[in-house]
Amino acid sequence: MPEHETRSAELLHQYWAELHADLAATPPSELDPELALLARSLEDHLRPPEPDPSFAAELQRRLQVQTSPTSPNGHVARPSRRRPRFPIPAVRWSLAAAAILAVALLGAAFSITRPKSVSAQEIVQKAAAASADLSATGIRGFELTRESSFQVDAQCDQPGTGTCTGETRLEEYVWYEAPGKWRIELHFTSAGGKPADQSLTTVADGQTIWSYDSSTRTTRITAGKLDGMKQEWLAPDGADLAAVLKEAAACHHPEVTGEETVAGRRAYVVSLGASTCPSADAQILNGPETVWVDQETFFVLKQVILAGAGKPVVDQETVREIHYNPSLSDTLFSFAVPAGSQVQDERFTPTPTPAGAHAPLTSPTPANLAELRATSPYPVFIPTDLPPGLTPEPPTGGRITYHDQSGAMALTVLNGPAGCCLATVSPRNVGEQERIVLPNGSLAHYLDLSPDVGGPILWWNQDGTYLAISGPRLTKDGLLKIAASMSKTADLGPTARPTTRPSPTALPTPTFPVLRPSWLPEKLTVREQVGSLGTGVAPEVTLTFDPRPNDKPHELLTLEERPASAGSGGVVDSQVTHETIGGHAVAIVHRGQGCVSASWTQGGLSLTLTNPYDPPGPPGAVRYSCDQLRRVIGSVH
Amino acid sequence: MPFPFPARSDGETRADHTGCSPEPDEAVLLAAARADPGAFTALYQRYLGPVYRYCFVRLGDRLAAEDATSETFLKALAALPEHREGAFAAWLFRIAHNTTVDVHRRRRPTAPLETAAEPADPDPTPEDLAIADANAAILRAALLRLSDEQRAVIELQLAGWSPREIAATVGKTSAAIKMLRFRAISRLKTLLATIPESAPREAHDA
Repeated sequence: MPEHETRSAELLHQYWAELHADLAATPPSELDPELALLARSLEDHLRPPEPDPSFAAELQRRLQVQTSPTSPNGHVARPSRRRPRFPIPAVRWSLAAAAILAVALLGAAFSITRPKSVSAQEIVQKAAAASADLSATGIRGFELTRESSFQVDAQCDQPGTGTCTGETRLEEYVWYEAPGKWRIELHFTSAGGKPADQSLTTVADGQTIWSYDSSTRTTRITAGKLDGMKQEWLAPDGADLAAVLKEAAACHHPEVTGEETVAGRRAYVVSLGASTCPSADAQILNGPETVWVDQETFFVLKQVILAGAGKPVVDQETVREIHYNPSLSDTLFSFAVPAGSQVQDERFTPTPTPAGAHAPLTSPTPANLAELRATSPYPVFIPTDLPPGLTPEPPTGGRITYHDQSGAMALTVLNGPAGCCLATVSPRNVGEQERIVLPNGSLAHYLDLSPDVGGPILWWNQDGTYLAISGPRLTKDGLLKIAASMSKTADLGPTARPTTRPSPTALPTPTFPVLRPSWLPEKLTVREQVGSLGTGVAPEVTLTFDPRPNDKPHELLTLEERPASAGSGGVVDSQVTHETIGGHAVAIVHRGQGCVSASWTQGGLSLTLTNPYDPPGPPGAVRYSCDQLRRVIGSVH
Repeated sequence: MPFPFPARSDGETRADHTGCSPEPDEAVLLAAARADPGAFTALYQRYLGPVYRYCFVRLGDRLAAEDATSETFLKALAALPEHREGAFAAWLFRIAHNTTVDVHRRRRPTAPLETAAEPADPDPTPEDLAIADANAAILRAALLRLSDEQRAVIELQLAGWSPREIAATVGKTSAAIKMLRFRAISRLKTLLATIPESAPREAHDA
């Protein structure tokens, strides 16, 4: 190869490596400036981001579940203990659940007589049992106050400093009366390290649950009851703490380190150490943990989690006062919705049905434009200059459709809040756009789409409204003319739905003769699709062969065809063999004993046959054998 | 991790793109993962970034890239016992490539009008965003016109794969990769010069 080309390739290689670290890197003077600019443009516009950490952690957890149903030590992996990343209001659920847990644990195995000496493992097991089933503890009721603090994000990297940033602190007041009456009041004094003054109140009377958030002044009402540790009502996004305690015996090495008095109760101090089956979702909670367990009831009265050995506290919950089986007023378990609060009543109220008959359904009345404009928070526009022969149909939300004399949809006008939809989306999948300034000064975007996907689209923002118009047979000039006539006051006139719709638009036909196999390895349902990977790209035909067409989506045997001149070059793979099948040179990609794909040129087309990972046998194997693929290839004509 | 891994001793590092210090040899990680599937985590942590970035370059969408990445690693994990020879990175790349091809097949060519709704990037103005995305769309369309081999080299480059990894994946020497990339860029330059209004535009202040 020419020396100068080799030199240029090396310069480009070096420059691109620098670009990857610094987009402002200076290109070598010897390198073609247009090539340098293009490389920079590619990095600037197409460089992908790093994977989202939460996605990475979740995928790792899924893989670990797949590979390790038991932890490396042979114990069951610790369940997810997710802490919300942000405090209020997401925090309230897990904290309320924690309050419930503490309350439930207080009632665990209540006994007048002091229990015999127990091992650390037994203490943890009894605490777990108590948290799982409050009704078995003998506790008929209690009231407690508790102070809690925790870190949402780990900002405790400096050992010995004794402080963390971003701390959330709250006080909890809990009343319980069996079998299902609760009152839980949470008062936040700080959130994420900043002062806060917010309260969350939950009241359950055994049939209805009220939840009030002072920050949003919203009361949510649901039907149901809080049974013991059924905490999902309060912790829909939090952890199943009963399960956590249940697994604690398996994922920790408990050790009784002493006895202390907490809230006037004698408690075992049990050091659990760091988790041996750490949670990927709540890594901040994987550090050394100590619990103080009521010696009589096996309730967890206090819990402290450190960021690490010798590091500051990241989670601390301490019961300050507790009374078992007090006399509680019924008024504690009733809730009066605060005046002025917004109520979200999620209780289902069935429509009463007359005896012996079904209640008649009310006929839906199409909204008219006037009603739509009266209730819409943004102006609703309609065009006043239309192609001849179009009839508007009754509006559906902000969408107004026009049909032609055959009943076919000819124009769609979509109204929405300014800035929505295509106006702000990153149109990576939308293709190339053209920017156009409308006569009214609005900046519009035009995208030329084929009729089979709705036709060209023109969209823009106008007077607080997002507008988009499209039609399968409209031109750009036609859309611009319609756009210039949009009015927020004009009347729609008579509307009507078409009595009939014309037959569906015929499927696009490929531009080349499609090759098909005459032999298949089993009974398969064949589908053909003509499509394109993008504007300006040669169309391709995809044939899929499905052994279970009515099953949920799964990988399929696929034959892709496109003109050989479209740029499909050689196969890129380190495990490829070349064979002659049916007189054609075929490149077959192998993985182990399987043939995963085959590519060849035939009849002026580039073809690729892909073997699906959809085996009837063991997972991870392709469905068809290499010989079956060869026979399919040989039958293509 | 259940096994202590020795540091690399051949002086070659992966710091050019990943910024990581010398790490255990891939063969060691692979052997560990075959012996104990729980050790697959090390391979996952090493290749998550490159695979995700490659899927993102191919698909241009965060959610689609996440789905494709998940699918890739789950397939790789399931098929790990069958992987006997060849570079793991190349094998993983092929799975990722096939997965993205499948996504392309399932995709509609354009987004429906009323379903195209995503939160706006708060930094640029909508117009800047539109221009930037138009440039990206132009570049992607041009990339599609390259040969598979040329396109693969560019996509892997953008995804941050090291030259050694690209070479192993594509099955060529590092020198051949450099030349292939140079020719791919040169071809792109020619393609962009022939597409009407295809030159990437600069944003203008209002």
